[in-house]
Order: sequence, then structure tokens, then C-alpha cells
Amino acid sequence: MAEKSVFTRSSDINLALRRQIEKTKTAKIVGLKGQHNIACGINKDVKIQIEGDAGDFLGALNNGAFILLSGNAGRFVGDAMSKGIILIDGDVHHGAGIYMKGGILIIKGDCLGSVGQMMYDGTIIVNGTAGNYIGEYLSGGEIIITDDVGNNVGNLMTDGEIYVGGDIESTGINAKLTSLSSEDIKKIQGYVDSYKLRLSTEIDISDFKKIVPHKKNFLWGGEE
Amino acid sequence: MDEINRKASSGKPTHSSGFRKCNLLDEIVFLPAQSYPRRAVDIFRGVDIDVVFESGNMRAPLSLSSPIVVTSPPLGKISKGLKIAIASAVLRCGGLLITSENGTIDEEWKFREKGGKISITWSPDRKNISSEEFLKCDAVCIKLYSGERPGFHEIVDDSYGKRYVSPWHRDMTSDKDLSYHISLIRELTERNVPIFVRFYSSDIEKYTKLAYESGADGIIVDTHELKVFSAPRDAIKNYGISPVAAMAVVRRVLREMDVKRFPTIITTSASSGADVAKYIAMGAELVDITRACLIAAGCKQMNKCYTKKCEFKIASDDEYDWKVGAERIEKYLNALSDEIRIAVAMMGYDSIRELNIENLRALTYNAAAISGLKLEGYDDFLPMWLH
Repeated sequence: MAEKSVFTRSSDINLALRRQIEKTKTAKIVGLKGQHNIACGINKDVKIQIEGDAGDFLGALNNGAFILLSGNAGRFVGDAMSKGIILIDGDVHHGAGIYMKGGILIIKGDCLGSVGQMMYDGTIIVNGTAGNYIGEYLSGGEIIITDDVGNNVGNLMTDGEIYVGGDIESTGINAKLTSLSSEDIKKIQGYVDSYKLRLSTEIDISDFKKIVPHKKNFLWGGEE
Repeated sequence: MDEINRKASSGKPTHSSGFRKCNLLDEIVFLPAQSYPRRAVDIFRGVDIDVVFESGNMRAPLSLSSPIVVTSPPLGKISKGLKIAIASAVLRCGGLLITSENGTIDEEWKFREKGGKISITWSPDRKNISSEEFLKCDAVCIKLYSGERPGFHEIVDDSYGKRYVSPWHRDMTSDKDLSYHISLIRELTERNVPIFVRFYSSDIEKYTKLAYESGADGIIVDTHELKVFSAPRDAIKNYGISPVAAMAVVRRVLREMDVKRFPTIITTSASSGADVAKYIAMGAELVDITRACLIAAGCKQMNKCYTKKCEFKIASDDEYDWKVGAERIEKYLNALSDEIRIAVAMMGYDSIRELNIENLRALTYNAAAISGLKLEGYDDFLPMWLH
């Protein structure tokens, strides 16, 4: 029979979670009410199911776990994540996937801005809208937003790719629009099928826009 | 004139390497013990220079057998061989090694078995930091800025072939966020280790208070004596205050907050045990002497680090004989530790923890005004420090 414990503080929830995953490969947290730092720094290939709303830094430095949240999340989901999968079935606040360097982050909802800021590698998929400064300082990996995005997309990016299915208000410094290749279309279709993403009936995958850096060797304020 | 001509020709700021030296320390001296009630300790080798950090936030105290700190420069600024040499020497001497912003190397963890402690750095550049390191480390340093001078965007020359920009913490958008980061790191480290907040010597009062109120266990103050490997020349000389002045500000702020102890680590170009002991007497718990270590390793201060063509294999990717380097740095640190013991012994104390500002005098009005120490002759604090 599954062990059941009741906690309110983040530190107690995390301690119980760490003890649970020492014994089993799955854990479940229900009734989360905005606590911060939940499931941070997990180094194991385990599945963690969470019901409720998470605070900031959910799954920060995730290094192998599959974290599934049914609810909304605060800021900086998957901060500096390197491996594993985080799937949020809800909306998230600013900075999802910030500093990410591997793994996959899927958000089935809307995001406020700064998705994938300072991202080094990995994949972020947002099945909804995202705000401003998506992929700022991107230096690797890919970001896929199925709906509209705000201003300064790809600002100061030096590598990586951003795909947007809806409207783009503006691109940032060193970011440029380019055409999709057949591999890109195949890749996006693959994600849509694998993660059962909902696309607007007005959007076809071939309508996605791709943003890449103008120059990879890019110095702030000028060319190298 | 050369500088103007260079810019007139290139149209770009001049790049350079180096640091700005604080000459104030030469104007500060110790008052040695001589007779009853304070006599010099006979055998200086028995003097205790251990440092212990304890707080309610930590499960166990952090003990160091030396008040010396070295911040390992990033791979890409120096070679891997030199990083290994620094780690080997510092950890064998029982000091604190603060790893670089762009991550640790395996050898740094291996040498920890010899003694000494490792602090990892949580900075805006998090490419190579992993959750496992938080469980292995002995301390964490939250660096509020990135690179060698805050506010300066630089291309981080990743030795693995990528280049990327490393700005300020993008997940720290208000003062309150620092406390969120501290609580995140407490979770990642399972509350086992001290957390220091590292900031530059600008708005020292604000960041000292913020660090204390956010629940940090101490602070690290970087000053204009922090060595810069590559930056526009203007950025090296014209930003930040000296370590002597920084310690004066920290002491004043802690006194105003009625805080008896809030461990402070100060970045300096100190090269002798007496220099280190002076900063300890001024209120520092540990003293960062990275620049001196680089010189012990073979750096000749040519200030050409930014060219990456260092003929002494310090600021380059060339093969550096780490065993030779480690032996030199270790000998230097051992000599430094003995000099620290001598300084403490000459004050008549058995322990470094007894050093205090009463042991020091400023030789000039300027030094007394900036440092907040008593002025020789006048033998008291200047009136501006007595409010």
C-alpha cells in the first residue's frame, strides 16, 4: 500500500519525496498549494506526479526525473534542468526553462515571458501563447511555441532555433526569421504527435515561423 | 597618448588584463604585543588559524584549517593543468576553494580528500553546474553578477567550443528573489552547507543587508583588486572600491544592524601573511588571495591574458605542468600560513579569531578616514567614524 503523509512546507514535502524515491520509482504529491522548490535537484530516473499548483522553481536542476504537474506553476520551472522530462498541464509564469541545458519541458498552457532564457540545450514546447523575450540569450537547443508570442523573440541569441506557430510581435537583436526545412516540419509534427499537442485549426505546421541567429559569433553591441 | 592613437586607429575600446591595486594597506600597520598583559606568543606554530562557520541553517559546522580562499578562474581563462594545480595546493593546505562560474572539474573533487573545502558557484552562468554538486560541496556561493566586472557583457569562451553571453541572473528580478534562491539552494543541498552571497564592491550596504535579511550565512565582497583576464581597459581600473574601504563599510553596516557576526570574505591582492592578518583584523573571516596564487604558479603579471598567448602557460590553453605548479603554490601557501601565525603571535594571541581593529593603526589621515581605523599619533578613530 502506498505510504501517505501530510505536509505543508516545501522542505518537508521534498524530504518526504526524496525518501519515497529512494524506495520506489514513483511518487505522487496531491493538494499542492503554491509551494516553491518542489522536486528540485532530482538525480534519478523516477516518475513524480503532482496535483495542484506549484510555486517557483518546480523541477529546478532536474537531472533525470519525469515530473508531471496537473495544475499551474510559478516562475522558473525547470531552471537549469539537464535531463528528464517536465510536463505541465496548465499555465506557467515567467522564465520556464531558464538556463536549461538538456531534457524536455512541455507546457500545455500559456506562458508569461522569458521562456528558455539563457538556454544552452534541450527542448521546450509550449502548447499555447508565450509572452516577451522568448529565447533571450539562447545558445542552443530548440523552443517551439504553437501560438502567438510577444516582443523581442530570440533577443541576443547566439545559436539554437525557435519555432512559432502564431504571430510574432517582434524579433530581437541578432534574431532573424528564416524558412522551415522539411526536417523542421517533420520534427514539429513528431512533437505534436508524441505529446498530443493541440494546434489551432488555422495553423498548419508548414505555417510555423523559424527564428535563428544572424551571426553565431556575436558580440554585444557589434560584430566581432 | 598611445591609448588615444590606438583608439583613433582601431575605433574600438582597448582590451586589457590586470587589476587595480589598493595602496592603502601599506599605510596600515599592526601594534605588536610586548609585555604584560599582552605578550608575543613564543612558539608561533602553535597559533590556531582555523576558521569555523556555524549557523542555525546548517546541520554541521564548516571548518577550515586556514583563512585562505582561492577562487579558481574559469577553464578557458586558464588551462586545465593550472586549475588542477590550484585545487591541489589550496585543498592540501586546508583552505577554501571557490570553483569557477563555468563549473568544476573532476580533479577538484578528487583533491578534496586531502583536506580543505570546496564551494561551488551559483552564478548567471549555469551551463556546467549540476544537482549532484550541490550534494557534494561544502559551501555554495551565490554570485550576483557574472564575469570579472559586473555590468559588462562578455563572450564566455567555453573551452568546449561554444561561445555565449553571460549576463546577470535572469531569475532574480527583485530583492525578494535572493531569498527564494537561498531557499532553493537549501533544498538542493539538503540544508547541509553555508550559503554565501558574492557581490561586487558597489552598493555594499544594500547587498550586505539584503544578504543578511535573505538568510545567507555570509558574504563575499569582490573589489577592484579582483584580477581581470579580459575586459576593456576602462572596466579594469575605474569600477569598484578597495578592499580596505569595503571592509570599513561592512563593519559599519553590521554595527548599525547590531549584528555581531556575519562572516565576510574579501577579495584582495594580499600577498603576505601580514596582509591577510590585517584584513582579518579589519573584520574579514577569510581572505581571497587568488592573484597571489597565480603569481606563485608562474604568472609574471604581463597583463596580456586577453590575447590567450601567455608564454608562461597561465592564461592559455597550453599544457601546464600541474605537479610543478601545485608544489610551488603549496609552498607559497604554507609560507603564508606561517606568516599569518607570526602576525597573530606578535599580537599576543593564541588564535586568529582574537585579531581585531584595535590591533591596527592607520599611518595617514587618508588611510584612517577611508579604513575607519585609529590614526597613529592621534590614537583614536577620526570623529566621522564615532557617530
